[in-house]
Amino acid sequence: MKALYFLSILIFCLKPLSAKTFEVLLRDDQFRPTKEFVELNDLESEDSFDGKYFKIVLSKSNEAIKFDDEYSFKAATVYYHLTKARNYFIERIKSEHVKKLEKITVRLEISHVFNEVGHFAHDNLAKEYNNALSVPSGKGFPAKNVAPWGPEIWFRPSLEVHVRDLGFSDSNDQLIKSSLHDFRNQTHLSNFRNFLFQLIFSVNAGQTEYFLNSVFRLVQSSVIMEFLYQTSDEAAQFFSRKIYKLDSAMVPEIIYHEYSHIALSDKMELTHSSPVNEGFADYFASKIAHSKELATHINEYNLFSGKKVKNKLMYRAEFERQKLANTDFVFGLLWSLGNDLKKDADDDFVFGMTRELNSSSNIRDDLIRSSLKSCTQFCLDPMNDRLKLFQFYHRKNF
Amino acid sequence: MSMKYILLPIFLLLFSTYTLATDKRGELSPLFYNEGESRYLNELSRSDLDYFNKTEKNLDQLDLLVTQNKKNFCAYQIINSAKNLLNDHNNVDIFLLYLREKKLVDDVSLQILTKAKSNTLINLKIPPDESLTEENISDAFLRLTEVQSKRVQNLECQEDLYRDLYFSLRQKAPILTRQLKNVLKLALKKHVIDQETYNVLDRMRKNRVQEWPMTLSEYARKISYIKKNLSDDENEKNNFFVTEGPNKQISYRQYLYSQYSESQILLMGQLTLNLKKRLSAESISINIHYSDREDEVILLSPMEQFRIILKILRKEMSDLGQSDLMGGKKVSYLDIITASYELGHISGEEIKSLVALEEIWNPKRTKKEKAMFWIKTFGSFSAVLLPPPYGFLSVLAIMIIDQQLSDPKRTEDPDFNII
Repeated sequence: MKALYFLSILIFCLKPLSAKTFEVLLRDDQFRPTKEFVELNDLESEDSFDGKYFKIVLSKSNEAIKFDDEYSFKAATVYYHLTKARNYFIERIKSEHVKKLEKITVRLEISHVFNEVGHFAHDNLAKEYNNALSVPSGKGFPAKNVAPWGPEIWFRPSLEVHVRDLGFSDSNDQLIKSSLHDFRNQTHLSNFRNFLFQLIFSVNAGQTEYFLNSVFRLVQSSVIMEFLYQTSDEAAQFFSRKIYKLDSAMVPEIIYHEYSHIALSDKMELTHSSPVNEGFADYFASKIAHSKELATHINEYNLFSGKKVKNKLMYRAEFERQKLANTDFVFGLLWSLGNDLKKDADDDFVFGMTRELNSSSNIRDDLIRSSLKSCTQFCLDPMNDRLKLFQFYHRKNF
Repeated sequence: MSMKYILLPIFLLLFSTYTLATDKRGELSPLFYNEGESRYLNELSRSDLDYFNKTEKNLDQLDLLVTQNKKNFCAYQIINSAKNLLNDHNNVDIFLLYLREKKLVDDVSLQILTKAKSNTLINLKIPPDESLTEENISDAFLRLTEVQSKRVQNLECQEDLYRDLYFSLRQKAPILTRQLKNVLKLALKKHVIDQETYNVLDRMRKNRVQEWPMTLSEYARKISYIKKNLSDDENEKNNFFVTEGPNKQISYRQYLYSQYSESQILLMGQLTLNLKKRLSAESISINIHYSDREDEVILLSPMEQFRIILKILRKEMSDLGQSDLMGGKKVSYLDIITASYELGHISGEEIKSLVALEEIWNPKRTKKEKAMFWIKTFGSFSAVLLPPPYGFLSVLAIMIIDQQLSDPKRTEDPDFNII
């Protein structure tokens, strides 16, 4: 009887992990969004997205989203991609920290600002949209009935906003403006040279009428060029994208990015964003996604230009600033280091770098030093590969 | 007797025994260095070599000419002996390639042997009409007497004898080398030298042996010294220093051994050892010492460290070039890399990365940059020729091509770096 009693308790404790099939959003071979049915493993609940490693909840709630909820498609998508990201860190990176992580609460459609003491900022404070963030665990505040919480991932609701309200300018716009500026200067210079040429040859040859005609055309050309240049900002505004929207929970790479923050949080704390920790989260997100691009070509949920490693940016001191934490400079740099320079070590080499860094690390000193140190451990020919790294950084204007 | 005088010879004996025991590459032919693929062997020579291997009867004896442990390796002597042993003495060219294919000689040795084999006499300038003084003749005869004696005793190679003679005469009085033909004739007439010595020296004169970068015995001596300093990885080989060179006629290896002595090569190799040691430094800092307050320590960033290491290297290169030990020879970075590879201080894998370092202080214009220079030059010219107002089309075309071709530019000496 005693044995039967213990057996029944054991069966109760070993609640079977169920595998159920759900429709989720995936990427196809061309990196376009597609809906497919997949099996979600490790679910502990029979009717909600409460699993062994993740619990998907709505906003401030602590109850897992039910399978028949209106957000079930989104919850299934997030659950599926988080599991994929976790498997990458366990199987490929062999992260001990990820193995030991407690269950992560994932909040969808949460617009509250995070508060380090109270968990959620007051409802009256300004809301946040079109974003996602990883939240460090907190001790809670018993006096105000705030319970302790573990590491969490928050996905903001999507909202169409005007680009000008975001207060940032597209780097492509700046590039076009700079090119137009050069073109205008060169055209004026070319017209002036042409004028001198006509002055010397046409007037000497007695072709005064032809000369005057030419000058008139040159002036016309310069005036038109100047008009185009002066009105270029207005024209660009008229033709460029005006609306920004991002449903972060429906973009697989953003899910990977946020999970990467959690996976690397043993060294790079979640307290604040920095160009270095954002760059590493981007790198691992792109490795999990098998793509050099993040969050592009998924227009139904995303109206921003994403991040591309191809951006051949030279290092500038302002890339160290927190304001530019989300630019793709560090992402491109790490991709080049991990894939282009160190084909034989790639992920191990880049993960090795994270062991030497924290959230306050900068690019110019700490990131470079960490790569040289990681190379000593993971490069097949450390002396030679370190030389290659030095030359690469030199080319990148460090 | 002090203890140190007893221990010192024991130590030297042990050290030399150890050096010989660990000198694995020393087991190879004395005239061969494992330098990778030959720049002289090609598909055409393979068929000749197959035929040579099948038909030649005295291969074992021919091998001995360059493998036997001799005091001196003499290029002319080897060629003459080979001619006697070969079925057809016109096969000397193939015999030399055979030696290279069998790795009994390397490209540097082969180049010297080819010079010794050459029957083509270089057009000699007609000696100027100058009169020799009694003193000149006396000096020359004194030196020729020594040459005669050494030749009879067979102490040195013919080419070494001739070169010693030539350079010592030039030091005495340049007129003696300009009038060498007449000096030799006079010495023969006055019985200072015998007919055979005259023939040897005159042949060397006609072949302008004084212009050889070095003789075979010199090379054998250098390579024997260098081999003792090599790492024991006998599989280590790289084609770079054999296929590439300061010009098409000569490889970097050939250039190194012809320009520098073995001790100079050792000194050059030391620079790379220093470079490698510094590159592995944990940190580098600048210390500012004050007399009335605490010292200031400025830690350099990794890239500042890298650049200061390169600057130290360049300074050491300059210092070495200025030193008497190098005889006033300006040391190039590629010579240093070649020397380091020969000494086994760097591996074949490291060559490319080390060679590329020069690009940092001595950037070369890329093909793209060269192309853009011409495109911009002709583009600006065509902009003037185009009838108004179509000049902007040319400007537009240049800008588009520039954007497609040009790499992003580095900002030289940005303010965020000390160095």
